[in-house]
Formats: sequence, C-alpha cells, structure tokens
Amino acid sequence: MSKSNTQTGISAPTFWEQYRRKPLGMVGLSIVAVYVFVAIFAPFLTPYNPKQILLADRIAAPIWFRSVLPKYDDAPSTVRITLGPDEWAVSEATGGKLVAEELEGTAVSVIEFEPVLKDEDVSEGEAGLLEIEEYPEEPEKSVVELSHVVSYNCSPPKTFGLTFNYWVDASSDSKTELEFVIETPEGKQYNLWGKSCSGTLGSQPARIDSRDLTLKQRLGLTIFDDPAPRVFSSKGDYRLLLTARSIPGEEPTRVYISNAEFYIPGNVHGLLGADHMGADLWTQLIYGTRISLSIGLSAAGISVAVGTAVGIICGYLGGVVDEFMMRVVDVLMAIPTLPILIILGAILGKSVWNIVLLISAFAWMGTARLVRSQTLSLRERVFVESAKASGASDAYVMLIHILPNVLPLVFAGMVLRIPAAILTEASLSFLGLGDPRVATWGRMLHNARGFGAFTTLAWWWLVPPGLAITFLSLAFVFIGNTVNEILNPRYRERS
Amino acid sequence: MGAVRATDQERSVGHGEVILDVENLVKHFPLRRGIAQSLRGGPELAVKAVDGVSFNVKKGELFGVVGESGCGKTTMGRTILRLLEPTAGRVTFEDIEVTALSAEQLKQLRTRMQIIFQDPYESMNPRLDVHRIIAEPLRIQGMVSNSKDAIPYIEKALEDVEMTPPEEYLYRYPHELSGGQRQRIAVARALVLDPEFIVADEPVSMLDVSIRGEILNLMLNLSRERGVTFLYITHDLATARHICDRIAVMYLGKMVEKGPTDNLVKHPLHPYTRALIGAVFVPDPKRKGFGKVLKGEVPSPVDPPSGCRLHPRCPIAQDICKEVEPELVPADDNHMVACHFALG
Repeated sequence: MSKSNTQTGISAPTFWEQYRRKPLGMVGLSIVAVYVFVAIFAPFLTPYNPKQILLADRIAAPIWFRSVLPKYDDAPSTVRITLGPDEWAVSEATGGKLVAEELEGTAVSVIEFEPVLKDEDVSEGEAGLLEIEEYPEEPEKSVVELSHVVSYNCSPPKTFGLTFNYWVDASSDSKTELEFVIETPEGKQYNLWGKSCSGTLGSQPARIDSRDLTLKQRLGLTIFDDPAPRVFSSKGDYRLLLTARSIPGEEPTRVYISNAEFYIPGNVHGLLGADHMGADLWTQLIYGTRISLSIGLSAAGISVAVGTAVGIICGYLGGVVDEFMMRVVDVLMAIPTLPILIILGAILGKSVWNIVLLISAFAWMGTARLVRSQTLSLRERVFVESAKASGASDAYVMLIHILPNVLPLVFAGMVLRIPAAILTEASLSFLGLGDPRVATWGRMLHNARGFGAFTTLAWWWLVPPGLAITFLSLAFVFIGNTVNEILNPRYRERS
Repeated sequence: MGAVRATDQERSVGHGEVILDVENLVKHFPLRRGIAQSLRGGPELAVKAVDGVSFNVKKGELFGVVGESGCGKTTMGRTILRLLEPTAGRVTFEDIEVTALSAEQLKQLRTRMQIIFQDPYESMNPRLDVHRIIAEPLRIQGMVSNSKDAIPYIEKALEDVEMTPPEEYLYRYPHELSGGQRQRIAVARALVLDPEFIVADEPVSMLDVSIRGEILNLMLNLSRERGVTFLYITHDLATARHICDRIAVMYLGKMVEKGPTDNLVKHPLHPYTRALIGAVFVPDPKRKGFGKVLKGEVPSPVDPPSGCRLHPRCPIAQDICKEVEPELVPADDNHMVACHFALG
C-alpha cells in the first residue's frame, strides 16, 4: 500500500500520540501557547491600553534600568498629579476663599472674591464699617494663593508642564490676575505663567510647558536654554503656587480652575520604556501579540481555504475552468508580492482587515497548485469511480472523497503559512502601510525606525518586537514541520 | 461496422428475457497532440479501446467477458455503466436506453446497475469505515436520511456476503480488513441498493487463490438465488468457465467469439480462443509446458492491424485476413465467431 501514504487515515489520538514524541513540535507548541495566553490575557498583563500616550518622556528607558545601570540610578519616572479642590492647599487668602464645586461631574476649584462695598452699602452694612474706615485710595488687591507640595527626588527632568482650564465670572469693573510659580526647596521662585483680565472671561486653556518659548523669555533664558533642569535642579519638596489676585467689582468675582494636571515626564517607564509619543512599549508588545496572531491565523485560514477550494475544483473538473484558473495562478505567482501589496495597501487604505485580505489574496496559489495536483491523482482513484457508480454528484465526490484526503497536506501547509502571513503583515506595517490605529509589532518597528530608536540606540524599543516575531514564526515552523512529518511521511526526509 | 445483431438469434435460447443489450459500442480515447502535430494535420489519433462490440445479457445470467489485459474489456464494462461516455453505440437496459439518459435519470438507474471493482484496496476511501462505505450508495440515492436508518440495509448486505455477525465489521476501517473481507465489503456495497445487474470487473484477480473461490461462489449464489445478473469481466478463462453461463472473448477492442460456456471451452472456433484455452495451466504432471501460445505482442490499439486484428499473430492466417475483417457470424445456434476459417 505504498501509494496511499498521504491518504492513510490517521485519527486524532494517534496523531497526538506521534506528535508528543517530537521535541521540536512540542517546543513550538509551548511557545505558541505562551503567545496565545498573552494575547488572551493582554488587559491583565499591563495597566495601560495601547492608545494611551504621554505616559512618559519620549523614548523613555525601561524602569528596571535604575537598578541595573548606574546612569539611570535616579532617573525620573513620570510624575503626574491631578490638582482638584482637595489637592490644593490655600496658603494665603485675603478677601477671598477657595470653594469646591462640581460642574458636569468634575470637581472644579473656584476662587471666590468678595465684592467691593460701595458707599451706599456701607451705611447699611454693619460688618463692613471697620473696613471703610481704612479704605485706601487705591483699591487693594484681594489675593488667594493655592499651593501643592510635590516631592521630587530624581535627577533633573527634561521637561515639565501644567495644563488647566480657567474662566472668570465677574462684573466688568473688576480686574483679575492669575499667576503660576514653582518654588524650589531652596526657596527660589520661578514665575512661569501669568494672565490678567478685566471682567468676565470665557473658558481658556492654560498650557504651561517648559519647552515653550514665551516661558523661556519670561524666565530670562535664551531659546537654547532648558528651564526644566534649572527649575528641578535639586531634590526635595517643590511648591506649586497658583495665585489669583483680584480688584473686585460690584459683584463677587469667581475664578474657576478645572482639570489642572501637573506633569513631569519620566526618563524611565514601565517594563520596556516608552515610544516617541510616550506610549507604553510593553503594552504595545502585548497587544501586538493579539493582532499578529489573529492576522496570521485569519490570513492563513482564508488563503488556505481559497487555495483548497480552487485546487479541488480545478483538479476535479479540469477543462477550461482548470486551464483558466491555473493561468491566473501563474500570473499571480509571477507578480512579486511585496511591491503589489504595497501599492494595493496604499490604494485600499490602512486597515487590519484590508491587510488580511491582501495577504490572503496573494498567498493561496501555492496551496491551490498543491491541492490540484493531489486532486488530479485522487479523482482517478477507484473509490471516486465507485461513488460515481452509485450516482454521486461532483460536489459530493469533492466534499466527501477529495477534501478529507487533501486535508492533511493542507493542514501542515496552513501552519507553515501562518508565520509567512505574520511576517508579511510586519513588513507592511514596518513600511508604514499598517493600520495606524492598531499596535502591531511591525508598527512598533516602523515607529522605532522613524522616530530615532536607531540613532539613540534604544534597543529596548527595537529588539522586543523583532524577537517576538522571530519566536512566533519559529514556533509555527516547528509545528508545521512536525505536522508534515506525521501526516505526510513522504516529506520526512526533507526535514 | 457491419456487426451482426446478435439479439435475434440469442433471444430464443438461454434464460429468456434480455436485460442488457449492447449494440455496436465504441469507446475511443483521443490522444493528446502537440500544437505542431495539430498544425501538420493528419488523422486524429485515438486509443481504440472498444471498437464496435455487440452482445446481450439475459436476466439472471452470468455472462463472462474474457481477454488479455489491454483488450478493452474493463473499458467496455465502464462504458456500459456510463462511467465513461461512449464514443458511439447504444446500451439498452431493459427498456431504458442508457446511452441517452440525462444525469438525473442516470442517477436513478444507478440503483439498478452496480459495479464491483478489481482492487479492493483501491475501491474504498481509506478515511471511511465499513458502515459509511456501504451506506454511501444509500445516502447518495437519498434512500436513508441518517446513518442510523442505514443500519438494517447494511446488516442485510453484510449477511448476504456472509460477513457475520455484521456488527463486528460495521465500524472497522478498510485497512483493518483482509483482502477477501474487503472484496466482500465491495460486493456488499454493490448489493445494498438491491440492483438487478452488476458488472464485476475482475473481482478476484487481486485476491489470493484461496479466497477467489469464496467470492466466485458468492457471485454464483447471488445469481442463482436472487436472480442478479452479472457481467463478469476477467482475464482468467478458468474462473469464467467455473461460474459463467455464457462467455465472450475479446481481442483488441473486438469480440472474436461468444457462446455458451461448455460449447466455447470444449469446441473453441477462433484461434485466439484456442490460444487462451491452451494457456490455462492444467495441473497435470504428464503434460509438458503450455499448449499453443501466440507469438508476438498485442499490437497497439492506437493503430490496430488491418483486416483481422489477430492476423500478425495468428497461426492460420492467410492473405484474406490482412485485408478483410471477419464478421461475427453464427457457427451454430448460439455460438458465434469472427474468423474466416472457423467454419471450415
């Protein structure tokens, strides 16, 4: 029975029994199992999601560098403080106070200044009498100073920043000033930002960034100086001071401050550092497993399904259909895949499913040829004629007699096609044709190349995705070869 | 072809009613030609596997077709069942013209005509078990809707081929069975649709001699007890003689002689038949070698010899044999022969 090597039925338990004894196959299987585990439990393996940016400074190093490399001994990790009414301490309050309010679900700090007492009011208001006696010629400013202490115990950062929104609700005769100052542990004050207005002011964003030119000028620095290392030059408790001064009008002046966020991006971050946008690389790597596995499996699945269908139909029916499809296969095989994928990828747009379809569209031909040749010999087998003698239709013969007999061949081919699909996807993403919304390994490498990982030798950015691709591909190759060895013994000598 | 219509002479004798009538059946396999050859023109070349064969089979009869390998007997069997499309000619099964049926009508007819193949190792899908192999014709024909319904049919078929108890074999795979068992399964599969007519294409040639008798007797019993008609195709005249009612001898796509078994074996008229009979091994120590063996090789069926196809090998060939093709003519009541010199 030498001629029916590939057609001998092999049951699942027998297959496993044989597979178990192949060390390489088992290694491949365990590696894939790890990847699958990572892909499934990705959300539990990282605190971030792959779309979060500004988690750290650009190209931040892994946090464990601190304990390994002396250079990173006291490298700053990210400081991010949200300052609401509860966080602010009132360090000075003249003629005003801090009130917590809730607007649309978020806590807003409100600095409320009392209105000026006019002459008419004075006669009526008993409480104000004392003040009127000392009423100065120039209206004295009411002041409320909010402060928050940040202890900073690392080497100087590269940048820092504070963002918040503010708006002022006041009568038109009032004047209001806002000011942001950082006080160093030595008591030196850096006045970083100021804003004044009269009357009511609509919602304004305040973006204080140490890299800002006006900020540098305000501090009397040149544009080439870096404020951050000067401000945070020593270790200790820094005070963030947000001061509001007001010459109140007839009505109470209210200064609203919301969503204040103080941020010192860290030079070290997470398990694998951060990319150029300050996104977590470990998170990208983990979520990349999901994408790579699903792209690999679905592209391989689709291409093998198409190839099998085409191969069986062509091989079994023959004639014009066969001739035509085989010429199509020849043409598609002659086209260099990557260039055409680049062009089509650019035309069709960057989405993961486009990539899957493109990869499958150019990967089914090999399977089709293999299956066709197998079908050509299978259709001449007597059991096919026997089925026909009982009245079987072509579809019946193809499904019941041909398909099960080509499946072992196809199955091993499919496993080997997965790494090919993963690599193709990585290549496309690396060339910038991947889906920009999705973190994949190829995209990580693309970013690493485009945003300076090579020049800064940020190997923690380059190496992990490369290794991830290598090991996953290798694992599938191990599995594929082992499956081939068992199901298609004719190929045994090759491996 | 000026083949004589055998029907009229033969209908009167033997078992009676004709179940299968084959008339001038031709099956040519065209050879592929290269582009250059096609442009150069010239005659279309074809393997003339079956080249004008006429005969009939009567109900309940065991009809043997004997010939060397390559003489076209297997092709003929398959063309009769329209597993191969005939090039020309007519096959009539009872009142149905098989050669004119549509695919759908043919499917219905398949419940009445079945085939047993030569190689029991090849004729079963190794991925199916006995149950599914035998149930397949039932399922294709829509006679059962699920595998449970098929079990009574399968058990009966297995009992018919003396594989008892049936349950023991139901879920075995072909590779777990011996050659003889496999061929029984093949017979059971052919029987499960309860056909009236079965083409048995060398059903015992791949089997051990010890098992051949069992399968042959099985066919004989089926024929005698259930009235199944067999077209028994074989290269082995001895087995045909053992079970057949009538035998036809084929040479290079043509029928050269046919007649009742005893008559044909005891008084062979055609030199080719004589040679075949002479080639049968007789277990007699006193006899030396074989009888007269034909010289030379079988000529190519692409370009068969002119006139009588046997003439290059025939011991009694004359000039007329090279030019005139002898027709199949009755020698006596139901014995027919195609030879210029057979009738004296």
